[in-house]
Amino acid sequence: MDKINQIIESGILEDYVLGLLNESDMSEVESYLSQYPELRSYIEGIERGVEKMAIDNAITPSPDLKSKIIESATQPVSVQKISSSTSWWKVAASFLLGIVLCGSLLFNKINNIQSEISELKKSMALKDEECQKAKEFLSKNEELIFFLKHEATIPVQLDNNTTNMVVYHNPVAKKTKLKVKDLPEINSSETYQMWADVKGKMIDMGTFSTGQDYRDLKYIAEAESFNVTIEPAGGSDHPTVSRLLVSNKV
Amino acid sequence: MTHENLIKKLKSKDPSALSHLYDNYAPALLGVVKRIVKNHSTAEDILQESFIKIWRNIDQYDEAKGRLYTWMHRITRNTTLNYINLKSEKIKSAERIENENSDIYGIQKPNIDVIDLKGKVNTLDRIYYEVIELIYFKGYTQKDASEKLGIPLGTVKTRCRIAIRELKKIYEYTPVIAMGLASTFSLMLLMLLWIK
Repeated sequence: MDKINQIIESGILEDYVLGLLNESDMSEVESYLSQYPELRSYIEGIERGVEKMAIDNAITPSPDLKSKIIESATQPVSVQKISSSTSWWKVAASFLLGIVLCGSLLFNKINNIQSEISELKKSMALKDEECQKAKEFLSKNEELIFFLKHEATIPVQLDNNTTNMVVYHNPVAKKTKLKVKDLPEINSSETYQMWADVKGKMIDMGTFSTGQDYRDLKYIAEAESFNVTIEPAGGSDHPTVSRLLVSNKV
Repeated sequence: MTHENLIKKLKSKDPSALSHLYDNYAPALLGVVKRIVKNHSTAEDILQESFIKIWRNIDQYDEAKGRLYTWMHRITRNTTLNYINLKSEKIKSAERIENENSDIYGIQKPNIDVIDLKGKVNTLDRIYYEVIELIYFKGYTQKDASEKLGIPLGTVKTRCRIAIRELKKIYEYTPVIAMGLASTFSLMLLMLLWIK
């Protein structure tokens, strides 16, 4: 009992309640408490006093603090996990979003490029066609120039007041071409026809109209002269001599 | 929820016990924090940190060593003082709590000329009130309090112990008086009912 009074008198219990003791003094008090259970009621009296004073001096916390505390206290580890995983999610989501954005941009770009390519292909094909036409035209003209300049080509001028045309006859190439410059007007039911005079016999060389540039005529090897008549549309088997337009010898 | 029940539920990590604990003790503990740290939201942050420590370390609480509130108060007080030390380390200032400029750090400047404690503690003699205010509410060590008050450390210790004993006496009367009043009141009520 003396020891208990001595402890109480020392005031160490008050310091204990106020939390003023260092580690070693604290464990000393704790050993007294287990040694002398009577000290418990004394300490509890002090504690209640301090506690009531603290309650008298309480300050009401903000209304939302309670839920904040309970939330962060009851989910201490998972909160961190969630927050870290959410940040990972955010990173992953922004990464995905970035990929999607870049992808759509690229997709757009690729689409644009593809349509450009198809446009280019189309215009290429067009140019190719033009080029082909030009080549054909060129080779045709080269051929024509070659034919016209050929030493064996005989130009036969057929002209009068209303008519002006040239027949180019080449016995080596076995080809005859016609260049029309001027012709008198005829009905739509009529056509011009070329005839070759072979030993007094008129042989058909084909019909023609105005505007045809250097058109081919049937090649007649022994042609002595070229004669143009006006015939009904589609041509005749024998020339209508009354309607002879022009004539000239080879 | 009885006190024993509360402790049992806390130890089994029942969230409803935490809610109960908060309702009963958060205002009192905030009262302690707030007298050391002026800024309200900082004080609430400290209270939150303290509650989380209480919740996580509830297994370390031993009923045989004292009341739950005493244990909680110790944790809260240490958390608060740690905060202040960290803060003053951070600002690399030698200025202590008692420094006149400490206000700018959100630390309440102790002003013993202003009585800001409420309740029956005010019935204590001035010399006891002072030490309780400085040591219990403002986180002073006994040594700091002795410097602040300009009285020997031994005197501070003695006054501190006496003050605590006085508090015990002051607050012990409360239930007696309350019970007396309550029983008188209910007796009168009964009589009134009986007369009717």
